[in-house]
Amino acid sequence: MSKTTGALIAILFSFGLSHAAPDDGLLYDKLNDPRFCDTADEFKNTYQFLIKQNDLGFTEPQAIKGALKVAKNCTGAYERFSQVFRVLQKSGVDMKKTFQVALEYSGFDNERAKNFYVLFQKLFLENYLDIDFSTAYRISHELSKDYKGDPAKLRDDFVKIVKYCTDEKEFSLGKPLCMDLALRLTKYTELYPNGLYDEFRKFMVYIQTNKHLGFNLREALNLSVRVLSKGPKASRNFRQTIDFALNKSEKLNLPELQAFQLALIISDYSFDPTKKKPEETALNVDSKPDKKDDKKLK
Amino acid sequence: MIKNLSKFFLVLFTLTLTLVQAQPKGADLKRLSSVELQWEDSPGAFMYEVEVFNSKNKRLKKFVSKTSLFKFKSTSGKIKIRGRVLDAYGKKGLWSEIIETTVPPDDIKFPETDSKPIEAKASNSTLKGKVKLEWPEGIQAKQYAVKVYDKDNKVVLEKTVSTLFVNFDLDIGTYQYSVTPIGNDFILGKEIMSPKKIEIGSAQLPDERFDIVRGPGNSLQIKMPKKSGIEIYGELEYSHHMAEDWTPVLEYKPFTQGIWSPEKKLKPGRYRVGFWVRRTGWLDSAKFNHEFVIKPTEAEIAESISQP
Repeated sequence: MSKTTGALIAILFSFGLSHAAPDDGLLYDKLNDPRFCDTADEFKNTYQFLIKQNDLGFTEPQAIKGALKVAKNCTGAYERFSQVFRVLQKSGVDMKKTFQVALEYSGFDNERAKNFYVLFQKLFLENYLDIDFSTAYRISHELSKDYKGDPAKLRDDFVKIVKYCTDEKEFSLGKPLCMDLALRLTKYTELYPNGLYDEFRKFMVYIQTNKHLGFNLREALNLSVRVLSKGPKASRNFRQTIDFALNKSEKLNLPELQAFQLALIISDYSFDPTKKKPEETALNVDSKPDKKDDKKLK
Repeated sequence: MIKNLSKFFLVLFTLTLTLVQAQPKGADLKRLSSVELQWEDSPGAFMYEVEVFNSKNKRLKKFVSKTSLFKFKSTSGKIKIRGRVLDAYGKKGLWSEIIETTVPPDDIKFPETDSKPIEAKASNSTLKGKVKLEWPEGIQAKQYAVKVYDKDNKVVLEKTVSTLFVNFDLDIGTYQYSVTPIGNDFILGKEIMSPKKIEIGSAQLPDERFDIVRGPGNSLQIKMPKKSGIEIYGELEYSHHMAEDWTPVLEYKPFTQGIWSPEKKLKPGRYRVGFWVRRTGWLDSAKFNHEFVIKPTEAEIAESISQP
C-alpha cells in the first residue's frame, strides 16, 4: 500500500513538473520582452563565426571585441550580422567594410536587416536588376536603415514589383525601367496598410483592359504611379469617375478624353496631406492637456 | 734631262681651309684646291715650264719656276699637265707627254672641338627619329656624299646632296656619319667621319586599339590589335568592392591570342585587366585598362547563407 502510494506521489510529482505549463507561460512572455537579451548565444555564435573568417584576419582579441559589439545588440544580433556579412562577403566587398556594415545592421531590427540583404541581392544580382555595386549598395541602405516606414511592407512590394515587371509573361520590361518603377512605386507603400502591390496590379489590369483608355505600357505605368501615389482610395475613385463620366444614361456623359481628365482630377483629390493620420490625431489628443480639466484643477 | 720629264711625278693634295681662307680677295676669287707638282730634278735644267689644261684641253695655267716644285691653285676635276726644261741660255726642251690626273676637292674640316652627339627621339607615329646632319663647306666641292653607319659599321643610309645639310629619318640606335666631297667631273674627295655621333632615343610606342566587344551570352571580350613587330603584354588585377588597393591575379607575358575573355571561376569582386604593347628598343605603350565586375549567383549566396 505504502509502495503504491510512494509511486503515485512520484508520478504526480513528475506529472506536476511536466505540467508546470502555466508558470512557463508566464515566463515565456517575459522572455519575449525585447529588453531581455540572449547575449551569451549572440556572443558565442559571433565569436565562432569571426574566428573562422580567415580573410578578415582578426586576431583572437579582435574576434572577442567584435563578438562583444554584436552581442550588445541583443537577441538576433548574430543572425542579422551573419546574414549581412555573408551576402556582402560573397559579393566581393572588402572584408573590413563587410564587418562594419554587418555590425551596423546587427543593431537594427530583423526586418530592417533583412531589407538590406534581400533588396541588395534583388538590385545587384545578374538574374534580377543587375545594377552596379555602388548603386545597389546605396539603394539597399535607403530602403532599409534609412527607411522610415515598415521595412517588411516595403520589401514585399519591391520584390513583387520587380518580379512582375521583369517577368517575361507580364511586361518583360528592361531592368533599368523596372528598377525605376519599383523605386517610384515603393515611395508610396506607406500609404497602403497592406502594401500597394495588389492595388498596382489590379489597376494595371484595369487600364490595360479598359477599351476606352488606349494607353501603351509606358503610359499605363506612368498613370498607375500617379494614381497610386494618392493613396489606397485613388484607384477606385479613378475607376468610378471613368465609369460615371462615360455612362451614356447619365446626363454628364463626357467624351473619353474629358472623362479621363476628370478621373485624374478626382483621383488626385483622394489624398489630403494636410490632414493627420488617425493615430497621430489620437496621440495628439492624448498628449494635449484638457483645458477644462486644468481649470477644474485650478 | 728633258726626256726625263716623263718620269716626273705629281704630288697633288688639297690644302687646309685656313690657307685658302687666307686669300683676302676671296670675295671674287674662286676658292680653289691647292695642288703641288714636283718634277724630278734634272741636273742641266735652269728653269722649268709647266702648262695645266682642263679636261677639255683649255689651258688653265702656265708656270715658270727655277725649282722643280710647283704650287698652284686649281679647280677640282680632271686636269692634264705637261712640262719642259729651259737651260741657262733659255733654250727650251721638248714638251713632256701629257699626264692626265685629277684634282680632288679639299677635305671637309669638321670642327674638332664640337663632338656633342646629335640626338633625337623617335616619333611614336613613324617609329623613326628625325635628324639634320650638317658639315662645313668643302673647297671645290660641288656635291657631298653622306653616309650613315650603324654601330656595326654598316652603311644604313646614303645620299648625295648639293646642300650643306641633309635630313634623315633613322630607327632607334647609335650611328656615325661621314661626308665625302665631290668635285668637278665627279671626282671624289676624301671621306671624312664626323666627330659627332647620332643618337636616336627610344620613344613610347603609340597606344594601340583594344576593342571591347560582347561575346556569346553577353560575355566580355577584348579584341587584341594585330600589328607585326609588336607583342602584347597584360595583367589582371583584383580589388574588393569599397577597397582601393589592387592585387595582381594573372600576368600575360606575352598574350598571344586574338581575343581575351575573363578566366572562368573568378571569385566575385572588381577586376581590372590591362594591356600594353612592347617592341624591342621602345618604351612600352600606355596601358589600356578595363574594369569589370564578377557577381555571385543567387545560388552561391544561398549556399553561403545556409552554412552554419
